[in-house]
Amino acid sequence: MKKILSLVLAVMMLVGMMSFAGAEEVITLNVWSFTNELEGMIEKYYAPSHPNVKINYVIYPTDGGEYTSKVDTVMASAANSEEAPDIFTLEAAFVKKYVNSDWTADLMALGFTEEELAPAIPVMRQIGTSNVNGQLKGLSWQATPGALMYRADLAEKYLGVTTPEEFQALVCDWDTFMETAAIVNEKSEGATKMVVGAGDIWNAYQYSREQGWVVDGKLVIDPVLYDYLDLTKVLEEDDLSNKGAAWTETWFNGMKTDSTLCFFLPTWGLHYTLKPNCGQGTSGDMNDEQLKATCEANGGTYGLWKMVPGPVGYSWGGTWIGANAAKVAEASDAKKAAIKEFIAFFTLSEDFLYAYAKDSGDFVGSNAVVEKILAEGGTPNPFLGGQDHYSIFAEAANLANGAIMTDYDEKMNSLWSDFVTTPYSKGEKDLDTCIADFKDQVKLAYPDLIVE
Amino acid sequence: MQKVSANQQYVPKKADSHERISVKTMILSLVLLVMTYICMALPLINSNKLVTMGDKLNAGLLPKLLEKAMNTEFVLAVVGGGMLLAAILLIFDNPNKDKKYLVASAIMNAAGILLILFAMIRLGAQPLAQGEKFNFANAALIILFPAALLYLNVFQYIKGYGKYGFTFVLPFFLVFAVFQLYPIFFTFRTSITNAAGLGNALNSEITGFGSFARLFNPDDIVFKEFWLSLGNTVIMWGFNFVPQISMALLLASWFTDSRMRLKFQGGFKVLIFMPNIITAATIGMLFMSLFSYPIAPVNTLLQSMGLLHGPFEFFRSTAAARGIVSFIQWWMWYGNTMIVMIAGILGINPSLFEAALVDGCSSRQTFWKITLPLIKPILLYNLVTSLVGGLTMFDIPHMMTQGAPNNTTNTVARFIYMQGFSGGYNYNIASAASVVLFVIIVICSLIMSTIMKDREPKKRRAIK
Repeated sequence: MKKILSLVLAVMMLVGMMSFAGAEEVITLNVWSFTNELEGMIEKYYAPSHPNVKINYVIYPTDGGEYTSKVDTVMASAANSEEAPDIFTLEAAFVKKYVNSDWTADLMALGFTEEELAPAIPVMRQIGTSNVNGQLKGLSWQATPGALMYRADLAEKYLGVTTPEEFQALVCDWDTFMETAAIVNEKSEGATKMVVGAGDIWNAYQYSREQGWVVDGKLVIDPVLYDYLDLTKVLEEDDLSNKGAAWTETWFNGMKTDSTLCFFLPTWGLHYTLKPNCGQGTSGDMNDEQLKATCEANGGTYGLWKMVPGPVGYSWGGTWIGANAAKVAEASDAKKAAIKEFIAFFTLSEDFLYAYAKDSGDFVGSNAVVEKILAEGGTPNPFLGGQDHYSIFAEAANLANGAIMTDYDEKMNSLWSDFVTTPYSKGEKDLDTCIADFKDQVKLAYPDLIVE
Repeated sequence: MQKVSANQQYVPKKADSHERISVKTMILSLVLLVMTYICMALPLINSNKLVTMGDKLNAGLLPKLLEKAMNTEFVLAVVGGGMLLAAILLIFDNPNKDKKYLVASAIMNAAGILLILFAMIRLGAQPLAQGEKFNFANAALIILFPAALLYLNVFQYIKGYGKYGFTFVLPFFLVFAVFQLYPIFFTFRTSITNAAGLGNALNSEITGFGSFARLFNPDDIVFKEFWLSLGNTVIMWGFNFVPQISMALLLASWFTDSRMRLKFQGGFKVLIFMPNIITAATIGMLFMSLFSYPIAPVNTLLQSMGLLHGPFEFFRSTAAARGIVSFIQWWMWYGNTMIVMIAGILGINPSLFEAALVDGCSSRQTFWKITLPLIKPILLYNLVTSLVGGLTMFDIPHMMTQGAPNNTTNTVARFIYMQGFSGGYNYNIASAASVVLFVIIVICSLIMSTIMKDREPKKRRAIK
């Protein structure tokens, strides 16, 4: 009896295993990402037109570095295994790390041509390009250019400007920006500050550099960074900012009240940060009418904002799509074509990007589509008092220089902020000590880097 | 149930074995084994799109099969199959204990030998990939399977219920060996290699004690930062531990005092223990927002109470930042320590307290002369666990201050983490620092247990 039972079990197992056999020729792509954003796009736009491709979508959150450690582990130990990703998405914080490594495939070798790539917004393409060998390794469906959001009502009150063009003239470069900051502080008697803090300015200011943090294996402190330090010192000493850091209570408070005039925010920052925090009790779940009503009822800033390109073109954030070099090397021609088609579909296909931009309002990474949308009259945004955000972002997008981005940026930026900007601007240490401490910390983090 | 047939065969007797193994059982087992292999192999063959059935036949099925069989998944599948089979036999097969173990182990032996064969063919046929110095799959094949084989062979000869005991604790030791013991040795190894750079943790060569030299060379920045972080850790641990143990002792003696008879003890204990239940990372984030600058609850409160005239930046002041970390550690752990102390005090023979009461001891005298000396082992336990926990302090400083200001709240664990998993990924320095920390903890624990040990010679006198 028991023997029969065990036999039955074994047979059941056999049948179970057999049922895997006999599937038809469908190409399976493993796609790894850190949010379900791309998954939604696959379901809505990609899957209907690509029935022969089965997408195996895997999500690991970026919290606590889970995503990167999963990718690192699989790439280091089993990059060509069946479970390893064929395609993975890369966030701004770590995109450089991967495009500079041998783990990501050269997209040109996958069959992309210059004509195809021509409409890609340069800054996103530059960031997706390896600093090591100049190969293009990642492309993005969106561009995340940054602009300067400002309170039109406060600008009129304290600076007497009524149009974005007039305001842009007051923030056209960093010196003018600081003069304006002083005027705002004086006219408002300290009630309104130009920005929340030095950290806010950094996101834009770092794009004023001509060289990245590391050039030819050497640490480079671009001369313009010393100007940045002077700027932050003036900001602190003359009390021209709210002295808060990004993502703190002070920062969000500045969006709701009259305490802050300007925010440096990119495309996503406008929709997902500034807008949901524009008033007391507002949230990301509300639509425009609800936001407006809440602001009118509880106090808020809905509709009072305008935007200008600001002192420098910059980019903040973004998601790139790259391919696993080990899997590409072993893939059949059909699979290579499928990988190329996947990346091309999301990052360059005009039909998709246009439909996606129309549906989501996201700023897409193709100049051809951006121009098409602008030609149709752009996207008047009631939150910006009817201003068209697409045209400003389009202007900013093509100003930003992505070539200065390196895989050292995340660490270097945090060391620069913790060991130089903060202690120097607060007067805790003098400049030489700060720079020496910074260099020590760089040596500690990167023993192989030449630090002079 | 067990039919006696002419096909029965005698097996060599073991000391207490009078059972025979049935050929039927043996054949059935072998059939099952073969079927299992086929089951496991089929999906692997079918998943290979490049090799069509025609190709297989043309090239000869067997070489292709063998080629496919030389992959880790297959070998692991075979192990799984073998284990399953052994389990089926152990559970369902015949009622004669010795026989079923014999059959099970025979199958496992066969599977094990096959596996080792596979492993050797795999190692021989497929050399390590370029630049690869180490391969987990190969290591597993070489180490784990012979070990399993050895165990199963030994298993037959263990008498009595002991064998069940060993079998049931085996999973723990296996998991411990793979996820704790092996990583510890791997850390020791990494500390003397050149492992640095993203993804190079496994791809390294032993180069000597360079990382240790950096940790002990006073001119090196690594030396400066490591010992600074160790100093920070000790300071923050000390300022948390002394109040923690005092508070825990005080509360424990109150809760156990028969003369006080505190009401709502359960409620108090829950409230005091509560902070320990919340994840440290959450608490770190909570205090970060409480104490942030310039607009935050604590700043607002202190200003409205008139204690501060302007906002104070807590995380730019070394004393304040360290103080907050120590406070959180104290607040999270004194409840836990208290519970352990209460358990310790309740373990003391109540007649001692009664005798003290009869002799007219005050509460204070009872505490100092009876309670404290008798919970010395518990105190030692607390001291050692708190020291180990304190020296490996990580989450609160990491979530709350990120080492600010100027790395004066950086702890050793955070130093190791930042070295190993950020910037240049200096796995070797991180491992060397871990080894040094390990040695420091061992030495401290030894010193403490020596100091705290009962110095009176033990009298071993039989009481009759």
